[in-house]
Amino acid sequence: MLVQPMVEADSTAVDTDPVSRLLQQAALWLTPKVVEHYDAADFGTWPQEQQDQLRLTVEEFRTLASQVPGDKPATVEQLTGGTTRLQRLIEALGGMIRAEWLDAIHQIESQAEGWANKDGWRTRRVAKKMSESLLGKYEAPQLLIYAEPNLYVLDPVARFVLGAQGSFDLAIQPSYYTTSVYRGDDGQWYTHLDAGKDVSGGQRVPWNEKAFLAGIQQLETLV
Amino acid sequence: MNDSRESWIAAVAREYLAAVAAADLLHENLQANPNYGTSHGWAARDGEAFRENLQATYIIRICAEFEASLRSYWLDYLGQTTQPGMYDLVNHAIPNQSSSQDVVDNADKVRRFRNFLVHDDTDEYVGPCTVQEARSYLCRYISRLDAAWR
Repeated sequence: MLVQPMVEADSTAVDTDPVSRLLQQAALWLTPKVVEHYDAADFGTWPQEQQDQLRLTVEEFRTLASQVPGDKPATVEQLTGGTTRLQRLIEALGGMIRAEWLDAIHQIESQAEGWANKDGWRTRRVAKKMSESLLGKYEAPQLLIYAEPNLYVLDPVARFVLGAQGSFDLAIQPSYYTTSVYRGDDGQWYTHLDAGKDVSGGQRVPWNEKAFLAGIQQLETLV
Repeated sequence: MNDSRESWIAAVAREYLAAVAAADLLHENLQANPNYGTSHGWAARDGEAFRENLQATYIIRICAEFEASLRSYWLDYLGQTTQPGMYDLVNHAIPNQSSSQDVVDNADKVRRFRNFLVHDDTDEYVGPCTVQEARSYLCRYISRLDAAWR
């Protein structure tokens, strides 16, 4: 959100720099819309002190952002104050998102583990060190699946990925052939089948036992 | 992995280390003999400029390998026919749910630093970036692309 917007044109004859500069000074993120969906009730399980701190920061951000005129760039004071408060919000919410993401990882891996065990495949979890700028450093389990004679890894990639709300690689070792398991914006988990060696293509199907087994089988044909 | 796209970038990064060692030797020679390069058509200040610009030179080279790789992926592997700018390729056109936002952001940081070096555009300055950081960020980005292409 804090990344400065850039403008590119197909033609080199078009000077995009002035437009880029205008957009960068506009601080498009410094708007009350950023916190418009905040509802204190969503955080009712947090310790009272943290709830109060979050509410205060949201109110400060909202007040500050509403003072920025829609047709003029933000002042240096507004930018600095807005950045500080937005960082505070990110830090506060990061802990909650990380806990939810770790829970989702455990759920997906437990499902895969159960399906694998039904077929007599042994499984093991190993800790993976992860780091995301919005979540900090954390450890998450990878699930190793020994589907003789092959070894597969269900490997959490990140909570913040492009076009999804968290993703895993499902890969056959020691190749790098992979399919993707990811959570869509609707909160449902999906995987790609019939992807061949191209993870970008393939067919999106809901994540379930049938899809898991099909993914395992399809990866095996690639090695 | 020897012929992988990542290895092309890693090879340039290793070449940079060799160049740093060579530049240090050159610097020592120039201190002992400031006319060392005269017979080859260059002066002592050119040798020092070479040493000072080494990191920028190699970051630009690494970025050239990266751009060539992404364009090959886009045109030859994905079969696209358009010519997006590097900003769009790095940030939107190529990455999918397999790429973490951090991986994309870090690759874009290198792209912007390269633009700062080439165009002297201070709007693109995103803080210092070393050759080894550029190698790491760009190789990590490429490692998230399809295995069949790599």
